[in-house]
Amino acid sequence: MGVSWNSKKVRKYSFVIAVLLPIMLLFTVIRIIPITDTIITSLYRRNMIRPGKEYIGFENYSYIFKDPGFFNAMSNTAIIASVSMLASIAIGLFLAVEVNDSKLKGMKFWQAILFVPVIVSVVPSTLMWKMLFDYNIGIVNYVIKALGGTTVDWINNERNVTWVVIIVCVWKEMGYNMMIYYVGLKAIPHELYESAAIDGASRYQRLRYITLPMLKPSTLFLFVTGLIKFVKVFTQSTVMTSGSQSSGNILKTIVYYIYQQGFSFHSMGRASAAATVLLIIVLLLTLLQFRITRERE
Amino acid sequence: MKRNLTLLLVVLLVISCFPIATAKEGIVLTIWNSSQSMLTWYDEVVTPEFIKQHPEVSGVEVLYMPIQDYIKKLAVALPSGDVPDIMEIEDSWAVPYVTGGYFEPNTDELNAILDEMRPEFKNCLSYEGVSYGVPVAPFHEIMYYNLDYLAEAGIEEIPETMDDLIDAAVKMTVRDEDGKIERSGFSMRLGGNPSGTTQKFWVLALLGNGVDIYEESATQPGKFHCGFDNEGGYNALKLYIDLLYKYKVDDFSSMKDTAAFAAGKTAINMREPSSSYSIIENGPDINWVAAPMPMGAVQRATFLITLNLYVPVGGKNVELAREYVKLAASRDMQETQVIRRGGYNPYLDADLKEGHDPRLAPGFEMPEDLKVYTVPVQNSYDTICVRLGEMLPNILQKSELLDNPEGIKEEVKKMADVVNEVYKDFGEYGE
Amino acid sequence: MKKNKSKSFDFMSFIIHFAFFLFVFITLFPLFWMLVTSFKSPAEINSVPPSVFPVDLYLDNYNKILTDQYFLKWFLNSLIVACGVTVIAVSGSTIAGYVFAKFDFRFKNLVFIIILLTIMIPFEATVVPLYLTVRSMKLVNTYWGLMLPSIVSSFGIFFMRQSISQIPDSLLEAAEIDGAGYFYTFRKIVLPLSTSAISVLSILLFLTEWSSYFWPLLVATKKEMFVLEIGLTLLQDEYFIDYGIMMAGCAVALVPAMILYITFRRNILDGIAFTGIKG
Repeated sequence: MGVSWNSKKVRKYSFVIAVLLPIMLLFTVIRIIPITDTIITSLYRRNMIRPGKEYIGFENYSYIFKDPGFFNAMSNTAIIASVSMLASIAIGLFLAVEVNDSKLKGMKFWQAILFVPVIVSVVPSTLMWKMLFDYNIGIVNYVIKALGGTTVDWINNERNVTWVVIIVCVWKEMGYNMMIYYVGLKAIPHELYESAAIDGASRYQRLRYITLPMLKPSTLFLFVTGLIKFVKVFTQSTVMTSGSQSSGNILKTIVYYIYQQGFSFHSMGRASAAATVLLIIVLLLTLLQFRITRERE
Repeated sequence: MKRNLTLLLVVLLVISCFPIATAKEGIVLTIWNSSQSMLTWYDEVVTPEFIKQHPEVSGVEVLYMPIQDYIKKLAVALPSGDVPDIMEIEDSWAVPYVTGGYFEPNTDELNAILDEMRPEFKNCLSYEGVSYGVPVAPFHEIMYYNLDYLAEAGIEEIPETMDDLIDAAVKMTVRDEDGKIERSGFSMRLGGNPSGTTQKFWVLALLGNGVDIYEESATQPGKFHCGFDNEGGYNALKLYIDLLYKYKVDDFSSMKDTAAFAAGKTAINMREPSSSYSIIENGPDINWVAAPMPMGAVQRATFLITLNLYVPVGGKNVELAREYVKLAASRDMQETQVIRRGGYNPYLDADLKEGHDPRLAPGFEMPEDLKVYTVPVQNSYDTICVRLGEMLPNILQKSELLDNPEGIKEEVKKMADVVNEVYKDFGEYGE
Repeated sequence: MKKNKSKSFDFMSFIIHFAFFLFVFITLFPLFWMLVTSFKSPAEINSVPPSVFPVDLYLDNYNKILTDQYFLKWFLNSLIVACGVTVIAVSGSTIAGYVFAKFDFRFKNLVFIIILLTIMIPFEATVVPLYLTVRSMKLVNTYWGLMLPSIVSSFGIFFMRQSISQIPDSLLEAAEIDGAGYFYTFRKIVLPLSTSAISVLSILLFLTEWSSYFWPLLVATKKEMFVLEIGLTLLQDEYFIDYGIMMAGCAVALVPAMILYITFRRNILDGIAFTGIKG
């Protein structure tokens, strides 16, 4: 008995090691070493294009925390990330429930359509939205005007363009969230709804007491991955606001800030410090998220 | 499904073993560049001539990257030693790499070419008495005027001074019934990429008012501080504020720059000569003419920036690369560059107007009183331009600065503080 | 009373259907606009009021892209890199997801958290040390160099773990009692039950790699090794945002992604009955 238990354990561990060892090795090379390097560099004054570095403790951190540009980037990122994430999760849930419940014909087709933005490249689709919202040639303002409203400069105003960027993010994300929720919905046993129907539960009650609790794992997954994804928002905001034909500032996000400190100003130390701050924030939010879910259970 | 994918992958790998562009025999030189309009000049003019002279070279590959990508690529590739044979970089941001020792100093032969060119070039290419790089495509800032709009407004003369320009711009600004600008009188750069915003502010407002971004320290040569924390800087910012809120020749929402000019959506635009090709292509019906920068409140000024060819340290064919640079910078080739790209002929005795489209040529008139500025050889300069360019849009959005001298002074002070802060950060600051 | 209830119910349904089709419209309209823009000349794009359908069918945008001498090579490069990454990363993620979902061993949580952590730091921040590594391995300008940063995916491992952990333990135990090895169990039970998750993951990883831009820009220093996303930016005008050519490029680049999506879509929907994302 003992022997077989042992051999089982050996077998198990050798399988685990055989699988994880190569993966973890690669991981170390392509992610863990560079990340460690980044964290260490954040403690040094280091010019990207000069040799040598000088240990300066937390000076890089105190620089970025005093830099109004960093706070601007933080608040922009916080707004874009939280609104995009919440909106795309809510819309994704709505769409998935509708596709799942609806008796209308052709739902599968519409579902397929809703996923298409996920597969379109970011840069052209952002430019597309920029064109739609353009003050002078955009169709959005044209329609607003035709309906008798006052036109709005969506792109060259920092507050407005934040919303446009959020729209682009949600547009690209909602189909994906719908798909994940749809997969989750299909796994809910039908009996639950049937017994609810016998009890005379309303549409809202079914959603509140059956669907949402059953979809909790999907929601947690979307929260965590959505947060990680949107905190790194960069391309949409930059493409939307840069170029010689734009006015107003480039909408800064944390990743933009990291790019700028590193590649334009050549300050690797400050770029690394900003990246480390980003890492810590996301880590805390993720842990918090896991914590909240666990406590509820 | 996975099996299908694996199969697909194998097929693709096999296909990729038969390269479409087969490797050429002989030496292939590589050039990295970030100016698309230079591509055809290299490929169709310089390279064929070079291969004729150097039969051992079978080809010259020019790798174009948009400027923002190029900046990133350089920052990673140069320090790690992955370099092409030749790099084309604008002098405004080549400096940190020059001072970092990434480029080969010019040989006597290349210096001899530089000596025949305008002295401004040598100034902005020299570091500690040694020069690096050779200009192949210089450009300066000029004004573009829409002649039909000028005539429509009853203006017969091309504006000579900034006041004339403002007058004309006011008359040519057209608004629709909601007050929205349909056609701006003068297209102002109010944002987008920050260093471009600063560049325009520098030439039009600061230099026109007789001040520069920096001033060399009187006591410590080679150290700098902000040069516009004074009357001139105040007038510069006031000019921009007045253009926006007093004369209202442009606003943040209008269509901008060359695209607007080619679409007839602005009457006056300020840009380098090579943008004329874009006007010709995209706005063939526009009746335009170029002119030198107008006389500012204090002086008439323009800048001269240049795309230079540098030979990086560690290149595989340094000698051949130098030969290529020599050829590209030669008189014959520069004449073709002028024709093909609307550039500036760098040679001292050249007739600047020669070879240009007749509409563009007046932009190459160099009036006696025109002062030509170049980019200083300072590590901090590019960072300063980016930082200022990020501040300007926010400042210019404050309409309350109109007729508010205290407010303007305060903003100028803030900008000056940032300039000095960057100098201190780079160890280039001196009282 | 009853009648009243059903009436309000209908009204709710109407609102919901309306909202649904509003989202479908919001999804479709930019895509439609993209397509028509790619057939417009620059002058027509800038015209006010905007025209819905191109007045003159303008094919130059496509012409410029498809006749570029490097187009086919770039297209193939993109395909090779994206397929390579997808196959390797999906295989790795699936088997690692199985291990994390169904095995208990020391340091499991620690290892898993480390993997999760690495998704959180932006790639751009670690690009310099990574480039130096790739360079020291002499992989600059090679397919392996292009693929290396993406061939293990922490997101993929997280995704597959969530999915596989939903497979009932009893199924796996039954196989083990029959004396099957772990790999056999993986192949015969875990894999077939994970088709939909694998399909979703494949699409996502393929797309990420297909549209990656920054890393290929650094690693490829020859035109021959460029990928399509970079190649398309080379056709841009310096002084204009050339919307037309941009949209044409996007449409061309969308073709393989669409094919992949259409192929896998059935797998996603078929697989759903068996498995799903559950924690």
